[in-house]
Amino acid sequence: MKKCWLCRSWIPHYQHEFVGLCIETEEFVFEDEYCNLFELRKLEGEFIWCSSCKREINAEDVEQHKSMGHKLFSAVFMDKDYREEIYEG
Amino acid sequence: MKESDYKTQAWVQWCPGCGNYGILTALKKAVAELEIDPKKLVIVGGIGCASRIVYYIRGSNVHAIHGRAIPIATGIKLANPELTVIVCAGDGDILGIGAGHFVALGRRNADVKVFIHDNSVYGLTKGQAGPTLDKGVKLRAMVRANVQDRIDPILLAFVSGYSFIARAYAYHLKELREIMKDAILHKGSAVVDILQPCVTYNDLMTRDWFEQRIYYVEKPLDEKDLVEKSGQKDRIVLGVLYKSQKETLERVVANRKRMENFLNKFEVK
Amino acid sequence: MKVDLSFAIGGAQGSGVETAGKIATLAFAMKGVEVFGSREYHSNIVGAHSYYHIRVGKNALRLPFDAVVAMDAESIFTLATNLRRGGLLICNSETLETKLNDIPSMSRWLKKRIAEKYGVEVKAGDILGDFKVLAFELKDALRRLNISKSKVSISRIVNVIGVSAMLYSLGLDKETIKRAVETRVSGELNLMAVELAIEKAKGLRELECLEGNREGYLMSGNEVVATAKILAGLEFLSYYPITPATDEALFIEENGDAVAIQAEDEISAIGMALGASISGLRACVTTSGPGFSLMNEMISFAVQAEIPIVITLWMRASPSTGMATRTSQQDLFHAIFSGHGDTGKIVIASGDHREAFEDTFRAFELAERFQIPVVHLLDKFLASSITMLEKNIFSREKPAKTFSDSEQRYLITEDGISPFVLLGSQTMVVSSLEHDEYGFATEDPFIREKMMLKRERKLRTIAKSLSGESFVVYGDKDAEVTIVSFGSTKNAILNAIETMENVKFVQLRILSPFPDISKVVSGKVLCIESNLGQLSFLLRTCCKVDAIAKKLNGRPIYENEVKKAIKAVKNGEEEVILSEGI
Repeated sequence: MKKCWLCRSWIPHYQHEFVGLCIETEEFVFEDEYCNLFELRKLEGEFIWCSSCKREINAEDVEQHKSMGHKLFSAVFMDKDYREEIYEG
Repeated sequence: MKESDYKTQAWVQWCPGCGNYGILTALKKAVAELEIDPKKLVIVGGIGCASRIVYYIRGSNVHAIHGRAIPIATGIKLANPELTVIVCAGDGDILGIGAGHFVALGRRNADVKVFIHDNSVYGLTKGQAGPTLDKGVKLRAMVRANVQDRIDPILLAFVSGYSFIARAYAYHLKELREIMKDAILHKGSAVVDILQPCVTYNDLMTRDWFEQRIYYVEKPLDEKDLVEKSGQKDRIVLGVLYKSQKETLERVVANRKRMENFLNKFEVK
Repeated sequence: MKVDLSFAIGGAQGSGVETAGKIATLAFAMKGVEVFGSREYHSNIVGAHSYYHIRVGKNALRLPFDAVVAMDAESIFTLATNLRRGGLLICNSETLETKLNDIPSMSRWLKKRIAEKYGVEVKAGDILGDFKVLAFELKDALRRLNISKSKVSISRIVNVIGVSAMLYSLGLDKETIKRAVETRVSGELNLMAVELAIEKAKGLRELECLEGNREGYLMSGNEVVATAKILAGLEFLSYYPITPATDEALFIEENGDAVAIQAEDEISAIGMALGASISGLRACVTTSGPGFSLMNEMISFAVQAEIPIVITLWMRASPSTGMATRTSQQDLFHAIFSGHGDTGKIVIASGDHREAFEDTFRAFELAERFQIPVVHLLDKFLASSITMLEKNIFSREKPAKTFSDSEQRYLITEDGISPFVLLGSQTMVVSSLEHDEYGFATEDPFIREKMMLKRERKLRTIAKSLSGESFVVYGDKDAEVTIVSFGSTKNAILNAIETMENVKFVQLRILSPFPDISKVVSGKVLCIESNLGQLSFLLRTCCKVDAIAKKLNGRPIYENEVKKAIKAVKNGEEEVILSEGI
């Protein structure tokens, strides 16, 4: 199945997972779109983003989360001004 | 100005033979030679035998609380940069409870001088181990040998960013006076670690003990020498050990202007 | 036109709630309608639940909500459960399918309570009651807005959609909503989002266009106090970052002309301020409970050496680190009895933003006149809530300063007040030890006694001086129930008793010296506070206390809870725990 959310270049939005950033085209794309630059996602790196748990997990826990049906990505996208939405005080 | 211009009516309570007599004499001579008006001289003391000096030298002085002379002195200097602000306190006050503030002053480089009356004990509370006492030493009033190791005030001052670092000895009055004058004239945070014997409680580090180990350097050291000489076991280096020029805190925080019409951003139109 | 609305906008921290809340409060303010907004948030950077609780038409909060914007699942579970029958819910149709257990950021205790009520497999959509629901197909909406090539913040756009729909349904016009959005976020896309939202909300609009005639500045408590300090001629501020005081300090640092410095800890902060104060600068520190604990020894020093200092204390949920971002009134004892020894001082408590502004000026006046620490008692609720203030309040004159050149800094006088001689102008000692009139340390028993009595006379002079302003009475002389309280409970109480007969409210403004209110209480005395009973303990020094209503959960006291407490007292209950909140 070729969908953006399975593509290597797609990182989901932190809050609204149905949309994400395509690092190839640098555009926002929805999870169910696709294009011919599709390449299957590989989970790389020591820390993996589990969007079901909304946290980073260690590479060694990937299998466990997979078996629970969680959605895993190499990275997550945050709006660039998210720190302005945080009330300091 | 003469030394006698700085005399007060208070009875000087220190034990006979106390190194503080030397420090008091040298300080009075130093400020007299620098022609500092007593009304503009601010000695800030912490708590301990050393800090009692605020009553023995005529000035516009503050007897603050234990370990906290440095922040109070910093506030005074920022408020009125024309004053000469000198902190006089013991090693327990400055390097024990007050260590955090000691480091912070170095980071800020405010034009405040810190004279540490360093006798390695807490004298006024009857002789407990101070921060500059070696591990394993048991002094006459201590219950058991010291379980903690000493701190090196010179290296601590160096890594904290002090721009003037010196060490002196309470009984070499001429050298002490000259180092004090140097420190006072320097623009920026200055520390002088003044070694002194405590005749009542420190039966190890006596006058003889110090005078067998101390020696002077001609001019300030570079970083490598500073570390090496500080680490020597049976030799204690004295003199102006480090000097640099950096922007002082007062310069950086001075002359602030109120933002024009800052309330406008809240206006609802 | 009398309007009274209560609504909430929820979402994860870092995902647009701040912007949405600001747009909502601004939009109503632009129409001249009274608006009061409060932020609730976790001690967290991103992800934890937060919400804006806004009241329109009154200046205190109440539950239940009339409308809720909940664009994520957690907000539906937390906020929609507090929405009244027939209320308006604006949400995201996708999240209606989210299961309770699939929300990692929600506290497991809340999950447990919800599961007990609705079952463990419950989905967000299942808990919807008899509401008017507008569920946006977000994917669709974002596609229509064509966000692909934009650099827009997705979270913000989603919240703009939600909040615009709600504002329109509640009676604001498109023009105002757009203006409010534009003030807070830039970009064409955001304005298109407003259009899209309003289009969908057209069927829900019941209220006519709201209109009012209020105008002025829309500010938070932190901003009000910071502004007051700048206008009162503050010359020195030292602080250590602590929630919820930091914002106030940063505002002063950015906009004011005082020397402002971030200290390495709170002890150093107040130490520097005391040094500046004895040297002649108008000085203050600002902190919260844990920081105030650290300042205790310095407060004792300030009393002994008679040093003017204003300490702004923003109370938060304690003990210890407690809940850093939640409110309480737990530092009443702490403020009054701070500092070891006989350390009487002045403690002022502000009831709302306007009082906070005026009390700031008063604090400096009193600190300098009486050479004593003044604790300005406020709380997180005041700090983070937003309201409109009239412009004319801000034209207050800054207090004058007077110094003496006497040689006896601690001269013993009839009223206990010695001449204030600046450091650097005279030879003297400012001492933490007991001292004589020149400041020199002494243990002489007679001088010591004289000095203690001098400081005591000073406190009596203060008490006499402040007797006319230490409390305010609202309501009938012979009321059946007298509510006594202090601080930010003021408007919730006033609003609650507005339509009641036979209930009066005594608001304590000065907490130290503690006033005697025995002559103004009548009937049953009900003490309302957000702690375990500190005020009622103190009140018993001058009158009986028949009942106490305490709120302990870190949320502000709501108007409806005051009503509940009054009812309970009339029924003879002696203790009520107020537990509402999200």
